[in-house]
Amino acid sequence: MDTFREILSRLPLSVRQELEVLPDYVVSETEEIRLRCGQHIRLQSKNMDRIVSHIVTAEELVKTLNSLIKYSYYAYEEDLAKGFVTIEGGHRVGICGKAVVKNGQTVLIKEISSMNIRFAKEIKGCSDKIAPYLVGGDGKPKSTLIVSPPGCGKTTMLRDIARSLSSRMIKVAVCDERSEIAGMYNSKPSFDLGPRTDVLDGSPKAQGIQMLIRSMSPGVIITDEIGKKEDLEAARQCLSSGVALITSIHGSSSESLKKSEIKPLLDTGFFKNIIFLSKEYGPGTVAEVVNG
Amino acid sequence: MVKGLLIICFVAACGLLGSVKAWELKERIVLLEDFQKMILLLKGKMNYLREPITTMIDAEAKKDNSRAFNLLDEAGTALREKNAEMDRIWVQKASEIYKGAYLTEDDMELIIYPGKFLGQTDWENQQARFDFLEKRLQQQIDSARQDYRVKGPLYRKIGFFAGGLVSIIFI
Repeated sequence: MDTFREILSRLPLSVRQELEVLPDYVVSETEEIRLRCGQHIRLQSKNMDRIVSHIVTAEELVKTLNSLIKYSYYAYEEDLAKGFVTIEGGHRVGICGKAVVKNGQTVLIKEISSMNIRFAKEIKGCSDKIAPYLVGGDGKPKSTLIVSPPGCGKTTMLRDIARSLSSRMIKVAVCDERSEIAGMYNSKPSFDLGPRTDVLDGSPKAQGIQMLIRSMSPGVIITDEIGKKEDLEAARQCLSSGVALITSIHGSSSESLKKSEIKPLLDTGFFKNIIFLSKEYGPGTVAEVVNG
Repeated sequence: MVKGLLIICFVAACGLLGSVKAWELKERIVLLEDFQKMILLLKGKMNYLREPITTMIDAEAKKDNSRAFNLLDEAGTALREKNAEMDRIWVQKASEIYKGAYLTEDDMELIIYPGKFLGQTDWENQQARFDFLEKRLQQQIDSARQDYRVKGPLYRKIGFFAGGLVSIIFI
């Protein structure tokens, strides 16, 4: 509930005052706030799809974005080019509108038409089901790939894995490229990642993984959404250094993995476990565990 | 004796007026240099740390009590409280804080200029605008120093001289 109020304080007054009067049970249930130009504010979760009477204007969308990026486009220009920003607390704000394209790449989104504020959550214990797969008989962590479609709780799962392994005397290093796993703010994580976890915040994975291996002597590196060719090279560094890697990728099945950029890595048997998540019984449902 | 005292007082008063005028020229340099210091700090922080504006303001604005840093502090506060546009806030706060200051119209244009670009573009453009502002500010500071060098002593001398001349004629 504090997260909700925290985010509310960043919204324009005209939007905020409509949301401040919501009952507590609605607030605690909300996972996303959707703002669309010319439409009602929509609050959503797996069990809820509720509208608020206020109709969002284009000006309010601009003011909301300005507030969320602290009036500093330059500080978030790379994120904005990808269509989202991550704000304090690790919450992701997706942005839609008119893409400004330069050299075939989107560099900015202007004329914002909608935003999706997704709350980052901490669910302690959500990785307990897969805990037996993550550590071998020798007490060493195993490289694991978590596969799921969007919204199935990959990042929440990774967060809890960090906490769980860290509590089991394993040195954990988190390469948090988009500041979503740890939600670092003023040098502190917004979530409990355990007593033996170091976080490298905002660094591209390829570079960050190398830096962590060299400087933090981790037993395992945790990072989110591996997929680019540069990331594969970093993963190979983990392999040659004897450091386990636990990471995630978008996908829904083994077939989708075979078509992905990380197929060469899969073929080497680098990942000892591949865990598929689904939403069947809510986000974080473990659909299948495949032992590499 | 009374006449003598009157002459002395009158000459001193005119001399003081001349000194005040010279002091205004000095004050212009101080204000411009203070603003330049603030701008260089912002530019450096942005360049090195890529911190958002409100974060930089929180860290730096209260370290100095000068007009430029007060402008930074008040603009940051107003941004957060009113959730308004930077250009409007900056112009409003600059006009309030520099009201009555001994600055030319060109000086004030430069003081208002950051409101037109701060935080509103990508990093490359921010740096380009800062470079332009730095260059123009330096030109104004150089011009203000030249003014003070030439006109400062002149105003002081004229003050005393005029005071002496008038008192001789009328007293």
